[in-house]
Amino acid sequence: MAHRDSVTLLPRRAVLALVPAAALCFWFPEPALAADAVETSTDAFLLLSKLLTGFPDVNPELAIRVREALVNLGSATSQGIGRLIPIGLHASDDSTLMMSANDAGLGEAAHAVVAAWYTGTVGSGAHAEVVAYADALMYRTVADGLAPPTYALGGPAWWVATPPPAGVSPPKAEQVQPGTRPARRGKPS
Amino acid sequence: MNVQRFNNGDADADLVVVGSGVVGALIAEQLAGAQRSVLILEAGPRLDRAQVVENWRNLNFQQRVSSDFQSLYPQSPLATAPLDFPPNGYVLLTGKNGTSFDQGYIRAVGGTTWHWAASCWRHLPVDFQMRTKYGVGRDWPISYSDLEPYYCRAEQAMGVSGPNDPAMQSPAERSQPYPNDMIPWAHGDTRVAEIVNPHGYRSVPIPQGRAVRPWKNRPACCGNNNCQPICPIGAMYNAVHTVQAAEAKGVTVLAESVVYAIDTDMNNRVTAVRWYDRNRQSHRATGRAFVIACNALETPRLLLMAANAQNPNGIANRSDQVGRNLMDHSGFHCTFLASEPLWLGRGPAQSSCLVGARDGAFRSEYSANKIILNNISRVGPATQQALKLGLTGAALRDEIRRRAIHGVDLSISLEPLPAPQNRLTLSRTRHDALGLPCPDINYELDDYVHRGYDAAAQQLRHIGSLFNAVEFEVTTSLNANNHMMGSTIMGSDPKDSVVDGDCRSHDHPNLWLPGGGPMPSASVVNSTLSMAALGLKCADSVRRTLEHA
Repeated sequence: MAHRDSVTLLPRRAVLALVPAAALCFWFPEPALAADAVETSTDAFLLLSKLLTGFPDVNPELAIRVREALVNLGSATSQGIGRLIPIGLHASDDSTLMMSANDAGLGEAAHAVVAAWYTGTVGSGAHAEVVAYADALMYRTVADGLAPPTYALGGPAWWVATPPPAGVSPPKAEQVQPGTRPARRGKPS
Repeated sequence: MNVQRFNNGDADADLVVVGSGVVGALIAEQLAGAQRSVLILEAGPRLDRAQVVENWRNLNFQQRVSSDFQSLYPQSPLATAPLDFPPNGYVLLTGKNGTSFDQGYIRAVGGTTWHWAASCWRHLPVDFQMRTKYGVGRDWPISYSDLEPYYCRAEQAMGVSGPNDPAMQSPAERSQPYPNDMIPWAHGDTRVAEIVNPHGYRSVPIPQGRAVRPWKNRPACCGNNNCQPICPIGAMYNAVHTVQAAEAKGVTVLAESVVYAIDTDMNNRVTAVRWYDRNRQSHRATGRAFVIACNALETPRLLLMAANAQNPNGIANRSDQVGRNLMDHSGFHCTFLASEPLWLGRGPAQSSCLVGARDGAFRSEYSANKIILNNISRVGPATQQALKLGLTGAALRDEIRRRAIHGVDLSISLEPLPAPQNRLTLSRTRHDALGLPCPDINYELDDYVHRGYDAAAQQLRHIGSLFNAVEFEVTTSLNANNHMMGSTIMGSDPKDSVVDGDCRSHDHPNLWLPGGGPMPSASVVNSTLSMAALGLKCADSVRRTLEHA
């Protein structure tokens, strides 16, 4: 399953070649970015997204929508994303990236990026913005056996086929996180 | 064929039907087939399926994962329906269990079958005799065998697929086979049945209004797993299919037409209903027969607001039972991660159900239950849970997959008993955009349901152990299931009931109030097929009455 491969990073030298030295050293407030710098930070946001999500082939067009929606959430998130981007350029994988992000007080911003990619929604409540439906990464985790709802994996009765191998270990009792279950409203049957 | 007549915006027809959901649409189609002129007045708008699908895909993740089945449906500004994201306060819920009666229904051409799951259960024969057999609740004035031919006709009308093996039927008392054999099970349904059936839980196929082959004008089900809140391809039965068939037979459907008054003559026959059009202009529809089929909340609301000099407590309400005896299957959920992958979410939203506790001597003491294996994709909840663990990268990816393929959601239904104090009344302070009173509901469940919850919870803990369940949880608050019943209750005594066994009003010889409202017992199964069967029985009564007029 292709999507289960680990993230393949570009050689560090290649990444550095893509990014002007200035971007590595400074954080630019959004309005102050020059046109070419915006483009560059878009590439850098794409790299950040690949690392954080575990998907090496995240959609570059969707990356633009995700980033814009995150920036629209307000200056705090916008600044957080701006500071995360150069950290991403120094990280080799999501673990080291998250360690650096947490050290810089940017853990929340990093998780906001992850949630946006996986759920396809940025923000919550009245401020929520939907940036993706079928392209939300959560659906790719099971794409070999389940289509996003409203789509289908085949014609009539396709579902009687044997599902694919699990490919992951079974749940363990110690995973219990009391209180993580969301309140739900009536779910009609 | 007789045709409706229109004059300056007013109308006349042999039969005037208020409401275009499954019940109103079936009756209209039947009477049009009997060469009667039929007018349907529907408060809500016509809907475009593709637009509704698009609206659903554009709801935010939180709404989708919280089962917001209402926001995607456009509403007429003059015919409000409940909304919860955010709450629009249309229905005021009071009483100890008021919040468990938070119903989601649609006011539009086709009604709430736009977002049902198409489960087409019959009541058990014993469900018609709760008082006689178990000493609780009420008996129906008709028996299962009286309704059985209409169950068959309803199954035909809705193109139901169900198990033709009697060992898997609930109930097995049938005079005809299902129009289509059972929807074939996915791996999850099969495995759950293998694991629980040796312990008496009796997992059986859910009879459902879809088929894996084309049926009349509907395509074959392709398992898009989005029955609720919108089947994207129209394979699932929706009353719109019957509305279209009725229109082809000459029925006129006026959408965005809100009925607010009912006129009666000296003999208390209904002579006309009055409605507001989308421009708030009032019109009058005269007829020989009248059917009000707006669901078990909107029908009593209309009957109460239409009180007139001759019927000061409301139309059809000499018994003072209109709006009372409200019921819904009290619901709760059980979730866990099974030790083996079950891959729920492949195929239609619900295909198997545990009915082992659907009936038994215990029903004299506490509620029966049914346990649906929800087959709605667990990817959304799995993602919500995995994100809360703070994971990133491959670990997050794997955690979502693990939770999605091992995740189980059981939806449990309990049976309330009819109680007069569970009641809809008209608000004195809240009004809709037309100035019509909004509904107030008082709802309180007695120990019959609470003891039933305890018994079901114990069964669920055992079921969980059969799957070596991790993160096993049972919700403690009860939720609504949108199966509103009881509010125009059926009975043989006009002093304590609203309609007779044909759903005809005791007070008005040419007024019928079919649907969930007349049902004197709820059973634990989804009410729609029983509503449709009652609607077809009502249609025969209307036809006979018009023939003899």
